Amino acid sequence: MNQLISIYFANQLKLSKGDTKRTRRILGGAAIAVCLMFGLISYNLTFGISLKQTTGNLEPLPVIMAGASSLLALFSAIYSAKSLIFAYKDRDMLAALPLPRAKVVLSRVLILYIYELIYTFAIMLPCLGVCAALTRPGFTFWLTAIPGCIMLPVLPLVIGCALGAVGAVLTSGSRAMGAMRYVLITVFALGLMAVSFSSSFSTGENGLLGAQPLALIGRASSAMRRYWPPLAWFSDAVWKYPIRLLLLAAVSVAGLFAFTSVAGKYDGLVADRVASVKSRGSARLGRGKARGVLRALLVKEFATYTGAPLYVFNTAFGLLLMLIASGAFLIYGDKVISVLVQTPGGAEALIPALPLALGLFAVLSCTSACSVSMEGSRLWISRMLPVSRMMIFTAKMGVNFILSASASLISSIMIAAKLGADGEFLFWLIVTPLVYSAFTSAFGLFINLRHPKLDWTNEAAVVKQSAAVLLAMLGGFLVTLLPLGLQSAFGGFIVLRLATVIIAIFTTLLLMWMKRRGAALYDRL
Amino acid sequence: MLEIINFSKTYRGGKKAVDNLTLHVEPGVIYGFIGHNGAGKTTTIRAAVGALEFEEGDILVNGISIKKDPIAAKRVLAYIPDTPELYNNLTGIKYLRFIADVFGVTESERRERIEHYAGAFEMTKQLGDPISSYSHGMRQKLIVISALLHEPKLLVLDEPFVGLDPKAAFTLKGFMREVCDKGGAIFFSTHVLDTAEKLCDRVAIIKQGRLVAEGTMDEVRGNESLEHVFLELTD
Repeated sequence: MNQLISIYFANQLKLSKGDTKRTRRILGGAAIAVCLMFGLISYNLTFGISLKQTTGNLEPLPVIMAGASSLLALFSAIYSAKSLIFAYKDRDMLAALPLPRAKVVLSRVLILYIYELIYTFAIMLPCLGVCAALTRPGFTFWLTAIPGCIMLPVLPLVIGCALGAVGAVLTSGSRAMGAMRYVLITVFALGLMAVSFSSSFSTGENGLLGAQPLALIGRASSAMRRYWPPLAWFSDAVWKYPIRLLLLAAVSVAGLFAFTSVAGKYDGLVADRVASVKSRGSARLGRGKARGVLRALLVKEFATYTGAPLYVFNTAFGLLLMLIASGAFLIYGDKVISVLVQTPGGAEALIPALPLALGLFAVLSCTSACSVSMEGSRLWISRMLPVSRMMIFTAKMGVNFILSASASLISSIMIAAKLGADGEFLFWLIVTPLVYSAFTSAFGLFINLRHPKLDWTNEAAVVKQSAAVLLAMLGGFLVTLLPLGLQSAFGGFIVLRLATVIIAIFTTLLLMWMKRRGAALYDRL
Repeated sequence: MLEIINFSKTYRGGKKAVDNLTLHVEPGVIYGFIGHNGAGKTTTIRAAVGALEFEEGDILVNGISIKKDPIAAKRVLAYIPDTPELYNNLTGIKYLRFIADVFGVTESERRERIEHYAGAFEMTKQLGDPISSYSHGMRQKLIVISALLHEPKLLVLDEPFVGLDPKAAFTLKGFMREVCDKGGAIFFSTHVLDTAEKLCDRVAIIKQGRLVAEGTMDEVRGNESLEHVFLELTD
């Protein structure tokens, strides 16, 4: 088992020992981790102090954070199950080893578990630290909280892997069924979000707008404990009954072994089914007209994108949320508008922030941040094509821009229609999200060219776990949250104007960099 | 057609893969490039097709420097790598259309050539299926078909017969000769010395990045077999 895991992790670290790039990556990663930790500690501290002052009870806070990390683990597992457990590149090599299949499956699940464990600790440690600082609990707090955190992602991971495997089997065989798989997962994700929101807000008389944030945390925490008992076991173990930790551990380990035994037994069957492709018979050679070079490259990039469900999910979710939020605003926005009108200065402060909020959704969806890495061992094809590097880059950025700009435009039109926007506000409502879409497209590619990962064996390693994706998202957050913060402080249009112009200039500089240095970097990959 | 002039390549870490290599491949010639594993064959081939950056020397394809004008040079060459990695999410026919679009092959030409080459490699029926369902050999055949689509003047192949069934290998040899008959040239590496002996007009043997023998097949092997000469020169 250790050997199987070390093939993936430890050996890579050993082989890159003494490499200056590795040192830089570790330092860069540490700097990002410190920034993230600082943000999470501030967030937890704000809610922790408020909860302590108003209710004197901090119990809901770790439940909320543990719930968030569990959801993250669940969806990661659903998305990754197929490519990580049943359809990875060196599967045949591992399957040929004289090992029980269950062990091989376990090693693959544990690889995902290690990643999820890192995320869990990143989310939970600041929260637990704040709780400990504010309540000064006994030694048993940490003695149960740390093992509890180790156990937290196990069950969501197991359930996610099982759901992902069943989904992959049911939808295998054709592209249409494959597309159905990610439609179903999206519906499931949105449904889960809707249920958790409705159960949190349902008791508030005035619905969403009447709910107080702190009361909301209490209600959300109760709902989470009710729907997902491991959260209750974790919370009880940390605060009151340490013995509950054993229950959490026993159920988690039993779940893990039950899944790996069953998955190990049917591993070959599932892998065959997942890999099976329905033959379409002879292709019609006469079909298909000649296209221009850029169009051909764009079509290829879109095919790469839509052919990888994990890629689509990781990047299209923000755009989907943008469209849903704008649609909801168009239909149910009267309440929001009436509150804004009644609140002194509300409309002046919040309405100019709307274009920036759309920009925030746009930066959440960056396809170009892993578009170079996704080429992997196929990179030779684009390098052999008689086209300029900038043409290849344009196609890669084009996918992101087309998706993001379309969703932004539709959202802008819906919001403009509801608010009856005109004049300068209408201009920025349309232009700012488009500028952010262009920026995200260029910035994602810039980051991926600087941090490529071409030696992957499953898509999850690139789409979910690569440094480029994380850095692109953090950079995107920075350039949207900073102006949003300034906007709330200053109000009016000045921040919006400045932010849009600065982002446009920055995007132009990125494109200029790509033409010269980006092309040279691409050639050296 | 292909001129490799004083080409050297040193990888990061100081390993010199190729040292001052000079070769000329004339039009109409099938040129075999042989050597041990790690001798520098793939490095030379990748540099020749513009897939690898290099600092020392120059490589001309049809008189165009791959270093100075890579786009123009790539328009007249085609490359078949040693591992058939392709876009799994595309079908065979979509991949061929993509390549035809990028190389500017007209609709009528592409239809005619796809029919011709896919028929010859018995791939017509499989072109509608996703590449992910293809075997190693089928992927290799698809790469060969895509390489021939734009009628390249120079065809560069790295271990092209690995993974191909005997019939497909025979068909490929026929197409290689056809390219040369039309005035093009072939530059390929192989470990199969029998094939090299029968197929090549000229041959070069490389050892630890340096050229140790070069000439027509008769000049290099003399009265011996190519295998004998190769073992003698490289041991």
